[in-house]
Amino acid sequence: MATEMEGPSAQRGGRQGGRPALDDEGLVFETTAGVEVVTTFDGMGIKDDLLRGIYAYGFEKPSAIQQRAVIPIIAGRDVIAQAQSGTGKTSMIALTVCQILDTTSREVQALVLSPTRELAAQTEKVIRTIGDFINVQAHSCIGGKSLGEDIRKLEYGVHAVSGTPGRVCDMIKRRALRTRAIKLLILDEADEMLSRGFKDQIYDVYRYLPPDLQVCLISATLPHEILEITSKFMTDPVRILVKRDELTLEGIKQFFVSVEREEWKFDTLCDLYDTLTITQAVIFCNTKRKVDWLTEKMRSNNFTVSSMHGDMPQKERDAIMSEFRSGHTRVLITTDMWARGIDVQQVSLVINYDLPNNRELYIHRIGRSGRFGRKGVAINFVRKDDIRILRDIEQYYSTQIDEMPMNVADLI
Amino acid sequence: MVKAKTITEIHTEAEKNLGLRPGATANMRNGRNQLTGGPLSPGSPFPMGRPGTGGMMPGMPGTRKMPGMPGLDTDNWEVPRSKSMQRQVDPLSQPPSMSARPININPRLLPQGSGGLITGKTSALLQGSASATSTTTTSTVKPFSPVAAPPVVSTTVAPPPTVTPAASGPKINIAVLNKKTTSLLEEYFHVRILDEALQCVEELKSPEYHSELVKEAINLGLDKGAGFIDPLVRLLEYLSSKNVLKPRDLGTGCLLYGSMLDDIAIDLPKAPVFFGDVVGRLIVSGKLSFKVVEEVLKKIEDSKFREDVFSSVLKSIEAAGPTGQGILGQHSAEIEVCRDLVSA
Repeated sequence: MATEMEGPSAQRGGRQGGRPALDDEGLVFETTAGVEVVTTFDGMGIKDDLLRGIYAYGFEKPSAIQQRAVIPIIAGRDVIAQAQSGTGKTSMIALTVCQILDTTSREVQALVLSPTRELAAQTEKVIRTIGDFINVQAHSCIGGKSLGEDIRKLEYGVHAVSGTPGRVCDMIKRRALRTRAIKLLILDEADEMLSRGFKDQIYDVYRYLPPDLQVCLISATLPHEILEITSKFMTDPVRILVKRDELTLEGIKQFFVSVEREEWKFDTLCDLYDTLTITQAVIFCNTKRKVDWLTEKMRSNNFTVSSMHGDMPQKERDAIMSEFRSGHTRVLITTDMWARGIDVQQVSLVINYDLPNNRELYIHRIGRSGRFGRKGVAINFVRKDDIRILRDIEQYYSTQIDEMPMNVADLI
Repeated sequence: MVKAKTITEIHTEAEKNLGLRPGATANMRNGRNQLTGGPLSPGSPFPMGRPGTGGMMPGMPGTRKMPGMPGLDTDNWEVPRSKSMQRQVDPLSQPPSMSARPININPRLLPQGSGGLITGKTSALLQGSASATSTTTTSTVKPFSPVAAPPVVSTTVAPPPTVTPAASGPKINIAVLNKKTTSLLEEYFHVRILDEALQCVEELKSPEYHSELVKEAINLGLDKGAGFIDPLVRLLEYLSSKNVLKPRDLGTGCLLYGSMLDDIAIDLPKAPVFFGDVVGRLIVSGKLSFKVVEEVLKKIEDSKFREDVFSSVLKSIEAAGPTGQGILGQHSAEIEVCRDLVSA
């Protein structure tokens, strides 16, 4: 599984603990019986040159969805995969698209529809990258560039097209995108496409495609409108459910420190510094300005800290993250925006310098998924007027947040 | 005959013999980073970060990247290599701090962590000692004002009359403004603290850019989906009520967005409906003139999108009950003009 933890499972009001996979309509969705699980790329019957591309890109082991969905898609089956982002679905799409292509032909054979330009561009990029050794020509119809360029590229001949339904539909209607050789249609993040209003365009595109089309649909949720699409577009589809690890607070010792007022937080943090550096710690503030302020104040008091937020160039954030991951830096001050990138799973101490603004952010800051074990300490700095919020969090997650004991260092 | 060793070889050997991390002696070789306290880091890497142990201070400015350190995020399948990696920037530079003053003292030599015990600070960990009496010593610590907010600069600078401001005076770096704007908006949509957003907007100190900010707020908010219409409207209303956004900024911002709508709606078919809702709500709250609707409609080429925007505006105003009905009554003439535009 990819390590990225994105949280809609928790954001959608999920409490900790297992529950059956319910879609919006309350239907239980299960993986079709007999779906084979293949745990290596080598075992999937993938073309040698494509395998080279996969390994060259740094992939070693297929993710859960790849282990289940690649084989049926390559075999030509229609597939419905219920999976969220962070499960390796984009690379699964790229891999299967590349596998089914006949690169001796110059016609479009695979079409991937995505809800946003960003996702469409990313998919195209992954297709091009892992298909490098089989000379795949891929193109993304995402607008923003000159229309003429789109048309030229398509006329030159590409094997795979990735785009939003609106742009793709436009290209088809202009006859710039010829559909007669398309044999695979992939609908990525189908629920998201519908929520952006793409229903008509998806149906429009589908009408232009050949009748013996193979269709794969990937969606985090399966509301009625999606099931309608699957019943209209697909024949005897294989169903695959990939659950993302749910975040839980189980096994995490949560404490609070009453700081009465905002000004006291800083001194409290300074006194905790020795404890923080026993291991690695992430300190969360609610805003980037506060991150800057706290970082500067810590440094001017001769404490070593690193910090990260959205105003920094990506390059700098990558470097700071890399130092932190390697254990080279030990105290990182940041905002919620980066909670997911940090992989806080590995950090055994999290300090909420500010209580998060909502319940969901709390579990994203300190929750863990099962595969990372069950240890960790979270310390919340609580002003007098924050106690109410803390109690709300405690109740919502049915968890316990005690006053921090003096020997907290022994618990880390 | 014994071959003379290079300094690098000697250091590598020393690293091995002394059990130092590979590269620990690197600072000695190039003479850089003298102030980080790193070169003589003793023994095992753990607990090298403990203060007071005299070890290398991780994260200090100039701390070196060690050979063999894991690279960037290799296990993140979904994200291909970032394009920003092409540019060669010192990856280890510290983030820009708010004060440009570097720390010139070797941190090893300073007492750490226990400072509160000596100076009688207000740490909550000093059980009970942080009483009202001790707070006086920290009264100099401001609650939280990283940067003093300017006293509403927008009143002193007249906004330019046109959508594209004339290039006069020192040219503001638009790229930087764009980036800061996106960043503050992203943060707002994430944490939804209105006051914070207000301060960030004020810190931009670019009132002439505010219409662009409005456009970008609409663009980003609507792209995130229906659930973000509420926070978007709240933000615009709040900034407007604080007089940071002038009615003209809101109007121009809406026009800017409207002129992009034909393109945006191809990738976000619901954009016209969402946008109409936003405009309608701003009209109801009195932040936007009804006249803007007509102007916006003129900017949209696609008749379907025009229709979507207009009917959504009306629906949104009607939803406001008697207030909405009142507004519709007052502007019946403008509404007719808009209807003509839509049916044209």
